[in-house]
Amino acid sequence: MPIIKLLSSDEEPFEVDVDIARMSITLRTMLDDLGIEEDDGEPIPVQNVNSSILRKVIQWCTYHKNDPPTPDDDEQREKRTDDIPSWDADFLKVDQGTLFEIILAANYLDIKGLLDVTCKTVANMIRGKTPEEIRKTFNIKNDFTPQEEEQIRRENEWCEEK
Amino acid sequence: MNQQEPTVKTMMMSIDNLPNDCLRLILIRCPLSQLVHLRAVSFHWCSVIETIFKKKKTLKLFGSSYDIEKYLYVLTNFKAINTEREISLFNFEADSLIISETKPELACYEIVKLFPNVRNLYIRCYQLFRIEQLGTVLFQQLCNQLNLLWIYGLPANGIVPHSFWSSIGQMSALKRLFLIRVYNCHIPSQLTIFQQLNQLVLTHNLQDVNPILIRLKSIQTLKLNMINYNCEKLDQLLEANPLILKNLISLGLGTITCSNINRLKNFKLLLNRFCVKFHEIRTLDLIMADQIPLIELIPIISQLKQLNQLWLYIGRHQLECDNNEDEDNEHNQHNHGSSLFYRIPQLLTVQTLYLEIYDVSIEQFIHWIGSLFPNVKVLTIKCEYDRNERIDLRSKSTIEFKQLEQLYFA
Repeated sequence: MPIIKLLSSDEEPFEVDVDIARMSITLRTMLDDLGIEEDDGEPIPVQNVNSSILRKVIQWCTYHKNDPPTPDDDEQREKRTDDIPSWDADFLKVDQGTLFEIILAANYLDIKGLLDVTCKTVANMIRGKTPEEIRKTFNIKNDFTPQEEEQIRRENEWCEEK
Repeated sequence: MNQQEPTVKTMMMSIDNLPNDCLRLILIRCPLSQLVHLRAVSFHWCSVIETIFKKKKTLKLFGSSYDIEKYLYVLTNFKAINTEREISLFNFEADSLIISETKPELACYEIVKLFPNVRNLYIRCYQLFRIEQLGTVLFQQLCNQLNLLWIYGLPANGIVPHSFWSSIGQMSALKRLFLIRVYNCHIPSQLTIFQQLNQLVLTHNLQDVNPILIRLKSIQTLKLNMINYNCEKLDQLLEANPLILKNLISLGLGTITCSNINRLKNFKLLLNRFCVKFHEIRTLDLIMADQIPLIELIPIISQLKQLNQLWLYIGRHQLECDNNEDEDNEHNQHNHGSSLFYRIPQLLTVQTLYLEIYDVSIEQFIHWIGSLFPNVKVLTIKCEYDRNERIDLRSKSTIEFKQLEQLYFA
């Protein structure tokens, strides 16, 4: 199996199977554009991803290397969140900061499966919570004035929460 | 907070640092009704959520969680979903809202503001059906863009605001109209939209439906259930609207009432008339129809020379043979009525078959269905068979149905 070298933003090198690296559309495009098929000595910089997150991403890709491809059209994809595989659920038991960094990395590297499962995980954290609980959970600043908040609340009175 | 959830340990990054696209990918996975309220989290969330709303093409409005439960029940019960199985469970939560009982007027104003690009609108919400704003605000605003309108359960007394029908009449892009359980409501047949419809589903309506059907100049799919109809009316329709003969490719018939003859007899005559006259029909849906013995039903259907898809309900008694008709009844019952087959034509063109079967043994099923539909490629069955019986059915089906490519249990 051909190997290539990736270099994280904090300059830690990672040796990865080419097939695993190619699960990232961003890396795949880069490899194709540069005509790289295996390690030629020069590591490929992954500028926006630090070593601890890149390690997690590679771990996820390695586990899922034989998965069928995720459909491209996001609008046509089922938006359910109750189907996270148990391995992924365990894998994503990390602190919020790490979880969001994985989302950023999955987005930058364009790894649809990983982006999908991380977004589902966060969606599950949001489900059933009120705006106040959301702010508390994610440490979000309420930038509405009390009057604005009251107006939104009144505008929303037509919609029952299930 | 749930103990399983990631905790705020190292806040090197927060959810608000994610690009809008990522936050959107997270929020589109939340129930729509929750998103309406989560606009109050922050300006940032409000803006991302409203962007999601602006892209929404499908909206389902319910009057209560009971309505949703009934809707979902209907979707998961094959027989009951005759007129509704087009309405899938796909992303149900992401499209559905419950309208407050006390604020339906406000709902109309807010919905047009928040969801300006809706193309498919489903309404099962009695509080909306009794207010003017449904027509004057919601329908009016969406009238040039709605492609599908699904209306369920109009008031039993038939009284809806005047603007209800007049605004539907102005929906210039409407192609698919579902009017389910409209009871005493008088549907004005002069609405011009009937001429442009590709699909009409009409159920539980007491008025003479012919004035409506006569105006269906572009109709391709027609489903009628719990309405009053007969051959005489069909002949009148064909005379007044001969285009329907050419255009109609999908027909669904449920329970059809008739005041002057026996209901079953009327249905057989009517179905026969449809099958004789409508040569273009490729899909026939009889799941909700009165149950006619297959020995009588199949010869009628066999007149549809282009039939590709068939929906049928089959109970045990439909496979039974009548004593008067069958000379060797005892022998035939033992052989699942096998000698009758020389009298029943095979439906050779049917490739997609949806069956709801009750009280029919695996042997009867294989014997009858395998013999009548030898070219089926996709078979979907709603049945009461247990796991072992399903395995048995699957293995026997692969032998009996030579062309079978897919077998589903609904």
